[in-house]
Parts: sequence; structure tokens; C-alpha cells
Amino acid sequence: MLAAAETSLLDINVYATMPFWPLLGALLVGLLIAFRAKAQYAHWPVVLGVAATAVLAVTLFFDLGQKLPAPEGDSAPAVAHGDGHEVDVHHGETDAHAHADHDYPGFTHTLYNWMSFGAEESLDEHSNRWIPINFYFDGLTGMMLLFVTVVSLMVVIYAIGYMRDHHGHPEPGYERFFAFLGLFVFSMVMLVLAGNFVLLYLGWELVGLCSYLLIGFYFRKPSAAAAAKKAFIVNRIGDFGFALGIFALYMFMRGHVSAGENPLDYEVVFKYAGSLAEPSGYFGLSQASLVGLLLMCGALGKSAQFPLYTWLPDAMEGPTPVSALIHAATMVTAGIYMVARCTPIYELSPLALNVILTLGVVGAALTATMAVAQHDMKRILAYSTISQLAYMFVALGLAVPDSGVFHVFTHAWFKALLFLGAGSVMHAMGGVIDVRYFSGLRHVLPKTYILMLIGCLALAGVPLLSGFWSKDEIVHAAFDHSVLVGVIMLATAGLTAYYTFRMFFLCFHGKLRLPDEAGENPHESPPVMIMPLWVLALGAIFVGYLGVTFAVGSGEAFIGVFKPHGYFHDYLHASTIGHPHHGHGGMWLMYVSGVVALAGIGLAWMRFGQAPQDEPDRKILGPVWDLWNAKYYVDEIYDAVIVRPLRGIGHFLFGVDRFGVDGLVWFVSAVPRGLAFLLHFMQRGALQGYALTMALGIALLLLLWRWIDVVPPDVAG
Amino acid sequence: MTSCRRTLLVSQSLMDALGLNLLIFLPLIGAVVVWVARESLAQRLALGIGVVTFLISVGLWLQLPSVMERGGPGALVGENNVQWIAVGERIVADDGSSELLNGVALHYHVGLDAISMPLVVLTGLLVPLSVLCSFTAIRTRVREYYAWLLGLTAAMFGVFAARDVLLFYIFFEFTLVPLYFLIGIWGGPQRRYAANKFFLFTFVGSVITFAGIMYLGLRAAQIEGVDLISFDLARLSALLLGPGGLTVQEQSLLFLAFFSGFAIKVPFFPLHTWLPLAHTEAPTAGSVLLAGVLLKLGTYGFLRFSLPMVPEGALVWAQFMGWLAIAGIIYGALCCWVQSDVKKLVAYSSVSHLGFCMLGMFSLLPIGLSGSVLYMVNHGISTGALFLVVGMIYERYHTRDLDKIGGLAWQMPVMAFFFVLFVLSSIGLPGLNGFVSEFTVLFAAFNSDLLGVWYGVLGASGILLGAIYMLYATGKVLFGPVKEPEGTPDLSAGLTRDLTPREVVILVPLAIVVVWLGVYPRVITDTLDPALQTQVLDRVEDAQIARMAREAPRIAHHEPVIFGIEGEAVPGATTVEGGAQ
Repeated sequence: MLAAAETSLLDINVYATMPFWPLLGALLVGLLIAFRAKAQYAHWPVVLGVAATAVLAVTLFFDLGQKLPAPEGDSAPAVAHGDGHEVDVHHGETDAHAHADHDYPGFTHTLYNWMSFGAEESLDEHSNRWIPINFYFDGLTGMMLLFVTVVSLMVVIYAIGYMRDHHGHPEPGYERFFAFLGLFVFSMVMLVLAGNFVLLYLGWELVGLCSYLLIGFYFRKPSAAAAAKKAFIVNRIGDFGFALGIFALYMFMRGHVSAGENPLDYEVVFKYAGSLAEPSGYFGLSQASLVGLLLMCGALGKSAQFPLYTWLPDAMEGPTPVSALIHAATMVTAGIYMVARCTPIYELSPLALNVILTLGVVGAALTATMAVAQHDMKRILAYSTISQLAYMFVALGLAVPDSGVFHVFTHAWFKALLFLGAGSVMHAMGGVIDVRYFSGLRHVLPKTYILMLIGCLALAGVPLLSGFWSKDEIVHAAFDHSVLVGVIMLATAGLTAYYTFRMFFLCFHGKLRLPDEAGENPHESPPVMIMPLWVLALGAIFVGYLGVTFAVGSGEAFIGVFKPHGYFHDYLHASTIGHPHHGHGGMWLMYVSGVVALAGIGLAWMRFGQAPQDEPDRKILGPVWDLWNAKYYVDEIYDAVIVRPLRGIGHFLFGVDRFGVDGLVWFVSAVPRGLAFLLHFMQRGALQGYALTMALGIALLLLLWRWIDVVPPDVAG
Repeated sequence: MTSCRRTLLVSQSLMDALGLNLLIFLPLIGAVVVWVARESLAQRLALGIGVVTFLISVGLWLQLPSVMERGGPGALVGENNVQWIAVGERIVADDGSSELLNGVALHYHVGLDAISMPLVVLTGLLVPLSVLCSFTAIRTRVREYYAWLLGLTAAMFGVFAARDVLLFYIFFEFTLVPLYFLIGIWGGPQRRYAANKFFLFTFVGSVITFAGIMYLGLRAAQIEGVDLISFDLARLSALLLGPGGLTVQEQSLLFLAFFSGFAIKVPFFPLHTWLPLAHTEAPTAGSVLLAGVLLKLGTYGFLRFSLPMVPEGALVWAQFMGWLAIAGIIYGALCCWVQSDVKKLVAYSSVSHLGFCMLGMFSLLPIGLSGSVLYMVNHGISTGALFLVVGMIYERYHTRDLDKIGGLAWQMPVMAFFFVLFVLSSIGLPGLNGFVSEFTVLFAAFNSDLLGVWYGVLGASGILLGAIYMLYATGKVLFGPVKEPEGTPDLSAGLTRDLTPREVVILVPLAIVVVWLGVYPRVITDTLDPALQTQVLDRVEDAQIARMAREAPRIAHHEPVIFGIEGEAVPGATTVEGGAQ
């Protein structure tokens, strides 16, 4: 059925240690803090821990790659594994029964049994069911781990330089910062490796915790503390649905699994996923729709989708490496990962997919407009992240999860690059990040300028950079679905190019202006910060080529060389994503999206090329621009509609508690009240009061006893 | 060899029995000694006794797996059964031993099984810590204070060890007195009122429970056709159900009688109003033991008495209990959110948390019961720890007003670490102890045939509300700009700005347990689950069968319903589920 837990390059048990190295590093840093060691070298345990994990992840990537099925399009269906079972090649079928007994290539490695479902001796001695600590390895795992760990390593190295003042002394809380980063990498790797839904939930919540701790890193700033709290709570709203989704999944699964199978293991759930096509009995939904929609709630929070995205812009209060790592490259993609992981469930539910698609389209367009009218560099990037995450959601909704994950993959590199570049600017500008206060920085920060240019080009979707390939796949799929969605996606892509380069030109072009905070001589960041950026920049340029095939001279290739779909997609097909159906839309679309990106950049150049001080857009758009600048007042609406009423209820209930409930109980207990009155006088000396109370109690008991004796119970019943 | 082994086993069980008796009587003797000893010795003496009882409780716990292996899931560690009070005619045998023929017998019957063991170890852990936390906080009438604390300890161990219902009741009531004085003498400004309210609420409720116990004892003799009335737990938990046994009406009423005592103790919405006041006014150690152990007497009572003794009554009232539990979860959480007194906030969080505990219990599923017991332990640890931390803040700043303090993470980083850790444990962060119990409890409510999906959904809203109020408090206390009242921190009595080593020593064991139980809850559940099955769940299943048998003639198309988590494997389960909504 499923492949044995075998890996060829390293023993599986070695891979299973992967999450724990950064945790070990974090604990060591914790010990350093506890014993008040010097902060200067506190980064080493975490850097080494993350590096160990990254090495393991790269090895695992190649290890799993050896097991890939033959590329799609071959005449014979691909052979998944040595045990001779075939991967069912299906093309976007929605017929549930076709998937009923699908085998997904991947294997589970169990560390130990964590939580028990309770003894079930009454049914079958061996039916003890567990929630284990187990890891699931397949193509999706390998791909996710690759970029998560490598980008993490780059960010951790960058932070060594970033978290210091101008003299190279560590900031206060330097050790704490690295301990949290180590904890984060541990949590994120756990999330990706998890082999069952509860362990996924564990990773899910732990990354949320790290996000909370790191957003609130500068906790003395009230805005940072508030942002941290908001992030955690908004995520919990989503997790509420997520948890219910897990409960519901168990409810539907428990009747199908046989002895020895844990009903929440991926392996087991996806094996019996076909049964979820049945009606659930709630709201007229099918089981798959109910589970899918509930799980999706979790993704809405974690991946900052409409309508739960509001925490992400505020999360920029955290240090910039955190914004890069957690709030752009890795954690926020967990929702996308989860939905992609659950493809076997979602492909049974057109309804859930449509909801995902709709929320994605709305979110992508809405937040792109917000990004146009912001001044804070990090916030522009944050809205752009939300917009890009919504792009990925659209891909999931269009049932092409491999394209969605491809965009996750490319996005991680260039968005981390952009944030770290913005951090480099911030570092040089003495903490100022508002584009209204500086311009023309290409003269003082030449390396950062180049690096940011690469990142912006990739984000804008300029042809031949990695963002282009992945974004184009989604636009393609959108046009296959409907022209409307396609046009919105294309327009959003244009907006993306426009606001990205608006930020870029305002920051780096025009006349050199510096804020006072930058000091006399703003300088380029140290090599420890610039080197990781080069690695990410290489990624931003080249990782996209993993997802295309070289087909020189082919008529179906972009500029006669590149054909969409490549190694990346084949790699992912050996996972629970399976083989999504991709339309064969015309090659013209690739040229169109390339032109749209360039047009967006061109427009931005025309309007912002000289870094004008007044907002030229505002003059044209007027109130619309103001609305965008105020982010459509979504935060204010939530506060007025949800937060205040709920807190009002709290005040009301507490009032009820003090006067109503208490009063009622007090009223009912008239006799004890009399007793209390008596005791009130007897309490002057402690012992006497005690004696009286006991005497009264005994008397009462005797009375009751007597009463029971007098009135024998009715035997007849 | 075999006989040698047997001798070893016998001597081992003698040792266990001795240990268990020590657990109950050592603190009692200690209380007297501390009271008469020199004032300067009181602290150290109390601490020493606390540590010894902790070690004994751990020692007994370590015996549990081997004892269960030999004696089955219901086996008792340190069992001890002596007739204590007996009234009635005796028959004297030739060898001089006598046996009671009729009348009433009260046994000193103690022993620990896998259900009570975790709570005993919890008590053993919290007692020395609460002694230690009083070192600087209590500066008046020191000897008396520790004497009452040790008296309370004896009662708490006794109540979990009792295997005779009357003995349980005696210990149950006996816990009131020491706590009454702890609150009334060493409490805050409103201590008298709080102590009285606490005492009267719990006392009045338990009187009705006592009546129920009496009735059940009488009825047991009647059902079994004997004249001897005794209150052995095992005996009363095995009374015949169905025709000739306890009727459903009786069981329902008895359930209510038990309810009145236990629900107030839990405290169950809407009978909780004594709790916030008692907690706010109590000294830190009182709050810790009240939240950590004494509230569990209520939940333990439901689990130990209501469920196995009147299972059909439990079935009748299960949904009612479920709704009250949910009301408590949401109500408690919303009340928390608007508190300005951080101790009161933690107190209200107990109302919310114990709602979870009860919700899991009345799902009447194996996983729910197991989660419920875990919840008792976990709540004891995390809420106890939060009270400890809040007490440490109070000692320095003399205020608990959230609007008067702030930004303490900057002043007290070590404290902040522990505060955040215990808050996270309390809001059920996976990997820490709170998650395991919260998740299983909600899981059980959701999947229970008796409660069902909507109970799970509403209960799960507590995980959201819990995060809201706890992080609200955390943000107020720890984050933002530093805010301190005039003239604070008060660094008298050897306190330092951040935690002293003594205070760190108090919190570290709890922090370790928080992580340990989160990562490996099986340290409790491996022994707990089989015990719950044989002692509680089997009984509930019997009740289910009795109910079916009673209803069978009335239902035309009778389908067997097997009660359990395997609902869908059995035809007819869906009808039960449908009926439960």
C-alpha cells in the first residue's frame, strides 16, 4: 500500500531529528540567558542548529527526488514506489469514487505515541487509538522543507548583523531574539513534517506563538504589544474553525478506519478520503465540504486571507528579519501548505474550492489597492504579501495546488529578499522606514539598491525572473476558469508591478534626501547582512527555472525556449497533491502578463521616477486614494462590529454576575444568610466561631439523618 | 523463590499502606507540632513535612504500574481497611473475631487507584510550593498559618484516598475549616465576608450531598437484602440497575443531591459566585490550593460518585450538565475579559476552565473522561502557577489592578518568562499540558453521542475567548511602558526587583511539569485509561443497557446501541446522535 519508511542517502532516523536541532539551539541560548552569559556570541547555537536542519533538508530533498515517478505525459502511468503500486493519473476529475482508494506516495515515520483516545477494551483489545508524534515524507514535504530551512538560515545569519546597533554591539534582547528564532524554525519544520492533523495543529499553534513573541519583541512599544496580541487572537479565530475541522474529520473517519490505524494520520485520512463525498447531515453540505471549509478557516488566519488578513500589516512592528522570515516567506504560507496537503479532501468539494477561489480573488485585488496608497516600506511589502498569498489561494481554489505551491516557493525567496533589503535600508536610515522621509538612496546603498531591484523585478513578475513563472501559471489557470477571474488576476499583477516600483523609485531614485535619524554618514550594511541577501537574490532569479522545462525551438515555449511545468511539478506530483489538471491555454498569455508587468513598472517610472514629494496619485484619485490609504476602514469596522459588542457583553455579564446571579443565589439561600448573620457575631474569636459552625453542622446532619430514617425509600420504584 | 517474591510483595504493599497513612497523618501531626513549636521553626518544619509528603506521594505513584499489573485496572496502592465506627449486633466466631450482622459501619478504608493518584501527586507537589511561597508573604501569626496549611494538606490527601463514601465526606468537609481560617485571617480587606461566603456556599451544598449519601447507603442495604449499612465505595458503585435496583427517578434525584455539593465546589455556573471573591481575598497559598486542589474535589466527586453510583441519573442529566458547562465556559471567559483585578481574572478563568473539565466528563466517552482527569491536573498546575506569579507581583507592588501596573517584563524578565509560559499553558498551547486535556475534552464533546457537535462547537469558542482574556492580561501586566505605583517595588523581607532564587525554585518544578505533561501525557493516561474504563465507563455502559432494556418494549424497531466512540460502526448509533441534538 504505502512505501516502507526508507531513504537512501541518510537513515530515516537521522531525518527525523531535523526539527530538533534549532530547538536544541534555542534551549542552549535559553541556558545562556539563565546564566547571564555575554550576548555577543548568543547567535551561534541557533545558527548552527538551523544550519544542521538546512543540510538535512537539502539532503532529504534529493533523497526524496530519487523516488519521483516518471514525468507526466509518458504513455504508461507512473510507478510510485518499489512496492509496485501505481499512481493514479487523473485529470481534474471531480467524481469522488475515482479517488476512493487512492494511494498517495509517501511514508510515515513514527517517533512515539503522544495522546491516547482512551482505552477501548469494550470493543476490541487492540483498538487503542493514538495521536502519535509522527512525520510524513513526500514530495510536498521535501519541497517545503527545502525553502523553509534555507531561507531561515539566511535570515538567521542576516539577523546577526541586523540586531546590533551602529557600533556592532548587540541590541538589548539579542539572545532572546535568537532563542525565539530557533523556536520558530523548530515549530515550522514540525508543521511541515507533521504526519497527522493534531501534530499539524501543534506546529500551527507554535509558529503562531513565535509570531506573537517576535512581533512583540519591542514590547515596551504599546503598538508592538498590541500588534502581537492582535496577531495571536485573529489567528485563534481561524484556529477555532481549524480545530472544529479536525474534530469533524475524526467524526467522519472513525467509522471507516480499521484496527491499528490512527484516524487522524494523513496516511489514513487520505486513504479513506473517498468516503467524505457522502452528505454530512449539517447545512446540507457534504462531509468533504464541511471539513474543507472548517480547515480553510485556519488557513484564512494563518495565511492572512480576506477577511482575517488584518493582523499581518500590524505584524510589521516586529524586527525586520522576523517580517521577512515569518510574515513573508514561511509561516504565512502554512495555510497554503495545509490546503495543498489536503488536496484529496478539497478535490471532493467544489463548494470549498469556490469559496477559496472567491476569497482569494477578493483578497488579492483589495490588498493590492491598499498597497498602492501606503507610505511605510514594510507595510507596502506586507500588503503585497497578503496579495501574493491571495494569489496562491486562487491557485488552490482553481484546483491547481502545484502552481500555488510553486508560487509559495518562488515568493519565499524574493519576498524575504525584499524585506531584508528594506531592513538594510532601515538599518542605514536609523530606523526610519517611511518613504516620504528619504529618497535617492542608490548613491549611499549601492549593493542594497541592486539587491532590491532584483527582488522588485521578481515580485513584479518581469519575465525570466522566478516570480514570473509561478505567477503566470496562476494567471493561466484563472483564464482557464473564467475570463473575469483571469482579468482580475492580470490587473492585480499590473498593480503589483506598479506599487512595487512606486516604493522602489521613491526609495532609491530622485534626489538624495536623508532623515535626521540616519546620522552623518549612512553606510552600507556589513557583509554578514549582505551575503545572505545575495543567496536570496540568486534564488529570486533562478529558482523559477525548477518549474519550467527547456524546450528549445518548441512552438509551445515562451520565447521559444521555456515550456511551463518542470521538475518542480513532477516532484510535487509524488505527494498528496497528485496530478492536477492544467489547461493548455495559449502561449500568448505569457507574453501578455510579461507586458502587463513591464507596463506597471513603466507607469510607476513615469509617475515616481524622480521620487516626487507630493503624492501624484492622490491628486487624480482623491477620496478613492484616501480610502485605500485608510485600508477601507476594515480595522475600524471590525472593532465597532465585533470587538466592542463582545466586550460590552462581557461587562454586562460581569454586572449580572455581581448583582444578578449572586443576588439570586443569595436570595435563595435565605437560611444560610441567617447563619452568616449569626456567624458574623461569633467570628470575633476564631476558635469559638469554628466550634459553633461545627455544632450547627452536626446538628443539621443529625436532623437529616433522622429524617431519612423516618421516611424509608419507596421500594416499588 | 516464589514465596520469597510473595513476601517481598507483601512487605511492599505494607510499605505502601504505611506510606499512604503517613501521607494523611504526617501533616496532621505536623500541624500540631508546628502550632506548638517555636515561631522560627514553623516555616522550615512545614516545608520539610511538605517535601516529605511529596516524596511519599511520588513513591506511591511509582508503585502504581506494578500494582495494576498484578491487581488489574482497579487495583489500589497502599490499601488499608479498618472498621472505624460500628453500631449494631455482632456475631462472635470461635476464634474471637467478630462480624457485624446489622446496623451501620463506617470504615477507615483508604487506597489510591489510577484515578485518584494523579490528584494526590498534584497535591503533593503544590503543598510544599505553597508553603515556600508564604515565606515572605505571611508575617503575622506564622505558626497558626502553617498549622492550618498542614491541616488542609491532611484533609486533601484524605479526600482523594478515601474508599468509603462517608470517610470521603468527612475529609471533604474537613477541608473547609482550615481554608476558612486561611482566608478569614490572612486574607485581603474583605476576608471575613469572603470566608463566610465560601464556607456557607460549600457547606450548604454538601449537606444535601450528605443526605444523598445516607439515602444511597440505606437503599443499598435494601437492594442487597442485608441489614448492614455501609458506605463502601465499591459496593455503592455496583448497585443493581434496572428492575429491582435503583430506579431512574431515584438516580435522577440522587444525582441532583450530589450535584448540589459538588457543583458548588467545582464551581459550576451559576453557583460560582463565591469563587472570585474567595480567590481574590485569600492569601496566595490559599488561592493556589483552592484552585489547584480543592476545586477538583467537585469534579472528582462527580467522577467518583455521581457517574458510577447513579449512572442512569448521569445519563438523564448529561445534556443539562453539558449546557451548564458551556454556559460556564463562555460566561467565565467573558467575565475575565472585563476584570481589572488580575487575581479575579485568574479566578474567573477557573470557572471557564472547569467548564471544559465538566464538558469532557459528561461526554461520557473514554477520551472525554481521560481528558477530564487530565484537565483537573493541568488546571491545578497552570492556574496554581498563575496564582503564584500573581502573588509574587502583588508582594512587590501591593496592587493587582491591571491599570496601575504595566511593562513589568522590562523590570522582571524572569517573572515574565514564567508568566508567559503559564499563560500559554492555560490557553492550551500545543506542546504544553493544557492543550492535551483541552483538545481531548472538546474532541469528546464533539464526537459524543450524548452531547454532540454543537456542544463541541460552543465549547471550542472557549479556546478563542481564553486567548483573548489571557493575552489581554499578559499585555497589561508585562508589556507596554513601565508603570509602577508610587513607592514600589517594595523590597522588604529580602525581595529583589526580579524573582529571588526561592521564587524561581517554586516555579521551576511547575514549569517542568507543564512541558512534561504536554509532551508525554501518557505518564498519566497509560494507567488512567484502563482504570476509568473498569470503574466508571463500564458502569455507564451498564446504565445504557438498562435504559435500553427498559425502553425496548416501547420501541417497535429496536436496534442495539453500543455506547462508545465507535458510534458509526454500530447500526442505530446515528439515531442516538440525532436524538441528542
